[in-house]
Amino acid sequence: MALILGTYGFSPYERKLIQEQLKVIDSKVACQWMYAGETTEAALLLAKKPCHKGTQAVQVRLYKPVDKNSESRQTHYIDAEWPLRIFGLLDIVQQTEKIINNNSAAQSGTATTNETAALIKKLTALKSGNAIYQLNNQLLAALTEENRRTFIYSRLPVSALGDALRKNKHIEIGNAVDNATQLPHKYPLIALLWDLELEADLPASDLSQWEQRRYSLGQWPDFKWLRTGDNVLRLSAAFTKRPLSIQEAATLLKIEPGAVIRFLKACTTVGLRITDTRIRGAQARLAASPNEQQGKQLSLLSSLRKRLKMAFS
Amino acid sequence: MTDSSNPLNSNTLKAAFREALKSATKGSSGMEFLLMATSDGYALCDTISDGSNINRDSLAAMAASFAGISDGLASQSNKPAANGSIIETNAGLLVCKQLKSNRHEVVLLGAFEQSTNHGIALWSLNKVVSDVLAILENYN
Amino acid sequence: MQIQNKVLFIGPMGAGKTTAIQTLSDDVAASTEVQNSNKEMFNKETTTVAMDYGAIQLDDNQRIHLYGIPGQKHFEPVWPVVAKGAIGAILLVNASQPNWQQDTLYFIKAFDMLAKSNSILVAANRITDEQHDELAELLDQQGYCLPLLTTDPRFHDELVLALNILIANLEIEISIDD
Repeated sequence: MALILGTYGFSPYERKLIQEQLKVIDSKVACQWMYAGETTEAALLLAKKPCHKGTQAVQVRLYKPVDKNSESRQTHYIDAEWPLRIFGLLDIVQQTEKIINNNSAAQSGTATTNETAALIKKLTALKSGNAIYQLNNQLLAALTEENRRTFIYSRLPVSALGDALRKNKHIEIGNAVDNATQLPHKYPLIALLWDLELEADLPASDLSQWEQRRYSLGQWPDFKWLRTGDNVLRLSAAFTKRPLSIQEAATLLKIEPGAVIRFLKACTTVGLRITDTRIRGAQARLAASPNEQQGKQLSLLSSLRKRLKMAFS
Repeated sequence: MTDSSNPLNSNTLKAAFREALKSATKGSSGMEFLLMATSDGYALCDTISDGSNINRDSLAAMAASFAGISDGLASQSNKPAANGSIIETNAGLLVCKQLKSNRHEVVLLGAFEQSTNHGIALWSLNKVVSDVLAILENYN
Repeated sequence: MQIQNKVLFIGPMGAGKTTAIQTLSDDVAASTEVQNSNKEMFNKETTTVAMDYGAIQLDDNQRIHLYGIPGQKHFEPVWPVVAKGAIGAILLVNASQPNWQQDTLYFIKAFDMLAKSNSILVAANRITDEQHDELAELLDQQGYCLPLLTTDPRFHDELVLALNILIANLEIEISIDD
């Protein structure tokens, strides 16, 4: 996430200092911070104010979006000592990131979840000849049908198109232009849907809806097109091997139940065969703690995966 | 899966090999049978008796694999390509020889009785090798 | 019991087993290639007669061994010898060869033990989207639930994905008691 830091009432020397300090702390913070100089329009604003002891302090004003759909902002104030040292700035930036993250998490179960679900529904209904446009009438993607499969032609690779669709609230469906097939990236629609489902937030109601049954996968996802990752591969292996409940799969893979549901929802959306049964018997027998031999084997596999990751990168 | 026919389909050549192998088996005491295969495992001819339960095609493939392993083993040991290799069993020796001409690469497998020692076995098989090489050289 | 660290490359002649092992192997892979006397079946100069061998060195002095079988059917007696102790197999098929679909099924059946535990992955090359869908359908009809990839055996990253799938499968296999 890219965020803007601004100053108010800082001398040119002090501004240069802030810019240098920001570069130093860059590797220690989660977001990408950009210094915009003297301004009042920034996510994080450092403003000098006179202190009652006669010295100066810096007031940090943090603009926090209240609702992603509205323009309203909430402002937080933090006081910090002047002169502002590197660790002082690092502390302010990290606090800001924490506040922003908490805010996003609080919102994620509401508007974003519904928006993504609506977006996926909208995309699933698309047909050959349709095209997706941004507000300024800019073509994002065009759809064609080849060999009984709907393909997307786009200027963007699949993950970037997914990001663009998630962020852009004003997309319109229209007809594809003639030369749309000349766009550089081509992938099936299912690749985009898969990406969106794996990234989507889950409403709390989904957990209760999925947790009463055991699921098994009748086919492996088609990794020719669909994004992989350690969890996706292991989830595919687990659900193709035997029926598992959400909790059993989460325990087996040591991941959040939400990640399991997202995977199963993605499988459903791309049309993979999933069978489900009501949970009757005891929990699937998972090797609670692997014996020495199994432990060695798992350690070897883990080493191989790391080695392959290194070679791959 | 696609099955494959014997690629060395010259009957003249195969007949010449068969004769060489037959006379060698008859003339050498202690030799149980001889089998010749292409270096990629197709059976060419043999002197295995008709009543035997030995599967000629499997034996030819195994002989070629064994010759291939011998070559690989020699190469990994920084030795030039193998000319031959010996398997010792409680029931006698198996000796495998790789023969190369300008046109063909073949493998010759000789099975010997328990009483036949290494020297006799190698001497007997080397005699067959020169006969087979002569046929390969003269064959056009 | 010994730690199982052997991955098998199976498939018919000309499918790319030797190439795949050479691509993945840290050192120069060892092979047992000889002159191909049956160019009618597949037009290539050499063919594997016993096995291909390569290895991936891991950080902690352990190695993953990569073994390739000789692909021609008459070498079938050699297959179990090479396959002994394998944790999984990558089945390479070349969709430009005649009978490639039957060959795929033949090898899955020949390595039945690995197929039963879903430890075979089908990696097809020179395959069109249409052929890919046909093969997926065929495997499904035959009751096989196996991962199917499009893999060029010359490309390291595609083979790495195949190996990662086998690893994921084995981890699950170890972690679930049947």
